[in-house]
Amino acid sequence: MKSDETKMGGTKRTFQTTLWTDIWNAGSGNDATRQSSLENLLKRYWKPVYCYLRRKGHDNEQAKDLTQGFFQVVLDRKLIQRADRSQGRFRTFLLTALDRYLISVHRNKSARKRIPEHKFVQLDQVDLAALSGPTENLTPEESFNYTWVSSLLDQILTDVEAECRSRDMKIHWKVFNDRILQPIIEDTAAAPLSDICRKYGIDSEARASNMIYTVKRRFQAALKRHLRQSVSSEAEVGEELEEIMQFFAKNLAI
Amino acid sequence: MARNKSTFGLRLEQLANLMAVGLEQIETDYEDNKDQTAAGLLRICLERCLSDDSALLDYIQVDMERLGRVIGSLPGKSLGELLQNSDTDIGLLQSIKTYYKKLSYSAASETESAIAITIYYAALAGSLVYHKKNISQTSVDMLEQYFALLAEKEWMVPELKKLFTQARTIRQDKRGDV
Repeated sequence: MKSDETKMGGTKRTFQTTLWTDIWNAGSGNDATRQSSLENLLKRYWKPVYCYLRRKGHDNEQAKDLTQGFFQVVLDRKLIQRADRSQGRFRTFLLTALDRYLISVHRNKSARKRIPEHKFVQLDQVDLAALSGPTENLTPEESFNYTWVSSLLDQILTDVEAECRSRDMKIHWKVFNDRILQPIIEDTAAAPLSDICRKYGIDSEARASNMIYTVKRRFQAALKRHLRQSVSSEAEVGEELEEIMQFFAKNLAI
Repeated sequence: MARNKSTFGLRLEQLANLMAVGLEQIETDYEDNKDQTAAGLLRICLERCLSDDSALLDYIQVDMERLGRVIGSLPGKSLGELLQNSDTDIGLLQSIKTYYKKLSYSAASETESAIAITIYYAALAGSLVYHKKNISQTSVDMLEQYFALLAEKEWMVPELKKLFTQARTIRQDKRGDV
């Protein structure tokens, strides 16, 4: 056999980071691009921003206004021009920008002026009371991280389920859901594989194990894909994962 | 029914457990059976549905889309079925060939490498037997020697032994056709 493989890239390879692209487009693109980029940013980050603000001591109304106002600031070209994607992770950039925004609001006492008439996030339609419970014992930064991890997992699970359905792997997803996902989410014992095989007409437990393995691999791929969107190099994917695990280790040890 | 429940509100341990699904070193049947014979591992590879080998399926899907082919019911078929079916598209055999060629370079053990090489040659044998085409840069004379060596391996499963033997004899029956 003759090798036709090439070594591609390296640890310093720069990703096509969608979130950084979004922030540029949100501030400078045409209306359609701007709207689409803004929606993408909001989908991923409004909840962490809101929870962070609540844990900073702002009441519901203030946190709602500040969340709206902050995303207006994100669109401010001056802030975008200051954002340096080579400096690292999008999450860090956003948190730093949020702190700067809060200082600016405090100085100017003009939060209202910065809040656009058109609300980016329809916060009135969201059960905001439910958002404060899980994070009430966390610091603002931890609250941001908790909400960010939760949103990340929601996106991953949604993607993997959609992928399974589009590839005619619905049973794969159901087996993964019954055996792995629901026991974690519902805090219950996992059903025996033999029961799951009977339920879905799978001929052997080995086959059911392989199905779970397949979905786990897709979960892992989706996790890396999402993390790559918010960092600027392969090395930072590892750093991001490390930071997530440190967050859990620190808070679970308490 | 689509999942409609958010993970927001779960305890930290639960979030950590979910995140761990994305980080764990997955033990597979394949890895669990390192001590098994090459025959056992080869059997697993041949019988596993494409939908249970996402890396292979992804690779094939990209290739098939590039060739303008519809993937259809392929995910439900096993590699063994595809290698022994005269209806298998030659583009698909090329895709399997290239995938296992690459896999043989990154195999974790000699046994895994031998299995990847076996499937690579099985794809070549299938293209000779069913499509009368040599899809490699290796001469048919050389291929026949490799097929003979593989067919004689003690761990070779009967269906591939038969395929390699057919590939060797096909040119003897129709000299110069391939």
